[in-house]
Amino acid sequence: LTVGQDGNFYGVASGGGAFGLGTAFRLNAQGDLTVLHAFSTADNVGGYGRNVVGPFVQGDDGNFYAVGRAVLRMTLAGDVSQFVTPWEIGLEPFLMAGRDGRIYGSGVNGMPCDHGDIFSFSLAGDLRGGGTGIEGCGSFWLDFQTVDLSVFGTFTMTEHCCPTTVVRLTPDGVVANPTAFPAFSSDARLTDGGDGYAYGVTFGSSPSDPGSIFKMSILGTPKPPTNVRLTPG
Amino acid sequence: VSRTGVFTSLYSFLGLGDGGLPERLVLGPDGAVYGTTAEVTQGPGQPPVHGTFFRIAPSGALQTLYVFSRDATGTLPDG
Repeated sequence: LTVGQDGNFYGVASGGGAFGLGTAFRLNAQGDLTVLHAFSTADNVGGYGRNVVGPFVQGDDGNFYAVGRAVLRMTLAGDVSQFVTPWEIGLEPFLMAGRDGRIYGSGVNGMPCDHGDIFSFSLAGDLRGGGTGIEGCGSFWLDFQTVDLSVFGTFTMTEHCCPTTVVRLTPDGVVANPTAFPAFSSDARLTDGGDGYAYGVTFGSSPSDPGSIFKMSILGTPKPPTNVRLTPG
Repeated sequence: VSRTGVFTSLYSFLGLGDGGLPERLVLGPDGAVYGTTAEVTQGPGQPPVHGTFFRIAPSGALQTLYVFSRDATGTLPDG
């Protein structure tokens, strides 16, 4: 779900709709739903580990962008068109709006343990491969872009091989300071706290390990995370 | 979760008419938290729910604003 610039909520349903491939919808705060678009095979969606596309990100131009087999653009009126087609999208593609006005995307290839790719595009359609072949495994999500325009992303750990790894992509497209933390398993995006730390959650592995919330420094060389203990309140 | 690590559970989904498998939460313009669930659930004597749109007030009170069903609006809002 995405909060639009108009204060409404925009989302994607992965099933149902007129063609069975899901819908794009708008909800207001009162719960009134408007179907903006019913996805069909003509939209070039499906596959790549997702039923359809999503979630949306809204560009500075007011349009919404989502990724399936290609990057789709949807206007506020629900008109969907194929915008750009990165040369390699990979499994479980994901988009994130950057601070610099570009939209960044990620995907992984060769599940479960191969590499991740990052691409970005401007709203004018300038497509760049920001970094490819980043070692890691599991899903690869983009987390946030810092004020110095570095992009952070996280490989989630799977049961198969390598650990959860946080990577930083510098503004010139160099992957710097990958930080692995084998003691943790994270399957959620990190959040930039604005205080020099990124915050994240881990999932527990047993009833005695219900998971945790951690923070990690992102100034200079990222450091392994420090647990923030959960204290029921 | 506060900056000092104090954790407060606002709402636990029952997996019935309130839905299940909540997706990523977003902060609404009114300061409340909004989100969707993307699991088929069913309360006793109720029709199946194919996802919900909900609001959680700062007090933790959950209000289901929209229930997805098997119709042309789509099901399982997970994106």
